[in-house]
Amino acid sequence: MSTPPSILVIDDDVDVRESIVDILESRGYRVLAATHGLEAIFLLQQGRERPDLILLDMLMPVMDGWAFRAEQRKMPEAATIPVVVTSAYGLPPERTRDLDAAAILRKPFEMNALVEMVESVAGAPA
Amino acid sequence: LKRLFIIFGALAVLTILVSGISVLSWRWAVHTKDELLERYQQVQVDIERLQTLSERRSRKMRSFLLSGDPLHNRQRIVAATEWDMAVAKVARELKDPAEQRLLAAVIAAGARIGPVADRLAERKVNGAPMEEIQLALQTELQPVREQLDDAVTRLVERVEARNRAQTREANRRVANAAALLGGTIALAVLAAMVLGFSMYRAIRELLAQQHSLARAVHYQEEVMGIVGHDVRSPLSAILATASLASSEAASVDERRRMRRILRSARRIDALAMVLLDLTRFKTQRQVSMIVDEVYFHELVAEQIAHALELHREISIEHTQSGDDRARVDGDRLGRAIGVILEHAMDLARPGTTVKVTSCGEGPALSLEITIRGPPVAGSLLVRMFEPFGPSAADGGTVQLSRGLRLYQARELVAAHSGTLDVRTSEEGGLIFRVHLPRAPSPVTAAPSGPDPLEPVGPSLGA
Repeated sequence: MSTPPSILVIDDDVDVRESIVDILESRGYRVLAATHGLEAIFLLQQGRERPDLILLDMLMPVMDGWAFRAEQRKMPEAATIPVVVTSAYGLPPERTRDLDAAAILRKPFEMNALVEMVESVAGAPA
Repeated sequence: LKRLFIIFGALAVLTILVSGISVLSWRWAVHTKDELLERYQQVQVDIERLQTLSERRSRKMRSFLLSGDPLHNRQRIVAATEWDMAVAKVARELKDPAEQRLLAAVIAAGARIGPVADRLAERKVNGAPMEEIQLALQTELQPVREQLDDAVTRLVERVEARNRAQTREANRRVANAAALLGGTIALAVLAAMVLGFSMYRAIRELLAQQHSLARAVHYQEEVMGIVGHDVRSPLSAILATASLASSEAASVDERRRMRRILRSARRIDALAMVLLDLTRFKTQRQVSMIVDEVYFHELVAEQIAHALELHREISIEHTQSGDDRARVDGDRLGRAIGVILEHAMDLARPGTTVKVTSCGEGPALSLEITIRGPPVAGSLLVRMFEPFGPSAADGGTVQLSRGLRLYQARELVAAHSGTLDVRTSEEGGLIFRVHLPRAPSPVTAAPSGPDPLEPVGPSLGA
């Protein structure tokens, strides 16, 4: 039996973060969670588990989505991990291009939309 | 400011009138003075001429008496005639009774010279000796001549005195008129300064109020935008959790309750999006879109499914045709279609079927929603897309969120470079039509409609 894909969820809103974790775990994914960009960078640096997908909120304290993305690109082992941006509003097109995200998932989203997005980027658990 | 402008205008008119009167008064005083001086100068000249003629007349008389030359006698007679004419001219010019009395004395004195001169001339002609003639000149002609000189001198003095008095009076009038004019101009300048300062203060106050109002409006918009944005995070949690709970619900009742939570959360989401988009329309006159590959028929079908959850008493017949691939902001366009569909369902009669046709042909996509329902008044139809206008579905009553959502739907379609219009169908209901390009030209498009917080004129579509 193959290992299910691992997803790193970065969101400062505890309810949103836990909802995503619940949904993805119920669908068989392995899920890591971070409350902001800096915590996520620590998780990636520890290297215990390389996520197959990062779900990234943009507006967060300590380190926001743009700063996290810039740091992530500097990390050779994590630079290629695809990122899906979760945003509560449409981001300016030029800033979206800068992020080079695999997809953008607009908040609020429902379970099906989230699962479909994750499956399309990271694949479905076996 | 309006009151100040009226006062300023009234004062300006008054100032112009008073200034005009002052100028005319001044001009009249100057003119009168000039005319007076000219007239009295002429009188003076004429009187002085009287003196000259009197002297010439005496001189010619004396010359004739001493030389006996008849030419001098003729010249004496001519001089007497000229004197008479000059007296007559002065008499016409002098109107003052005292002056006329003095002139009468001059005339009387002049008249006495004539007979004396004539008598002496006759004696000369008759061969009277020179000594007698000289004596007669001293004793008979000289006293009469002195009387005439006295009379002329008194008249000249009188005229000169009056001339000086009249000149002083004329000068006084000119000075008064000039003072009036100067005062008027000074008052006008003072009034203009006071009013100008008042207007400056009023305009500054208005600008400050305008600035303050703009800041307050901007603040409100910011608050709307922030609240609209922040409410979406908890909504995400509600929607995600409710959808998970719904999928894992063990009983039908539990699933129904979860669906109710989902529906309510979606409605809150739609309202939050209205707030966000309206704030964007208002502050930036544009809406940012996330354009992606979307299947138009699926997008419409998804909205139909949501609409059917709310209106189970109405059925929908969806006809699809053509290639439906599109590059649009699926979320926003879906929301716009959902709002139109929901509004159409509100207008449809229970038990009827709403016909929905989605079509992809060439570079364009189209959607047509046909309903059978009660006739809709033209006035309501015209104002259907006004943000704060009455809604057809509410029988003419104002329903804020519906008007706003329809307005927003129209703006979202316009942001995709498309159009949304509505017209009455032949069966008595309505037909909503959406036309879109398969891919909007700009990723971020400006809304076509007017400012949402400004009054909106009649319009049938975007």
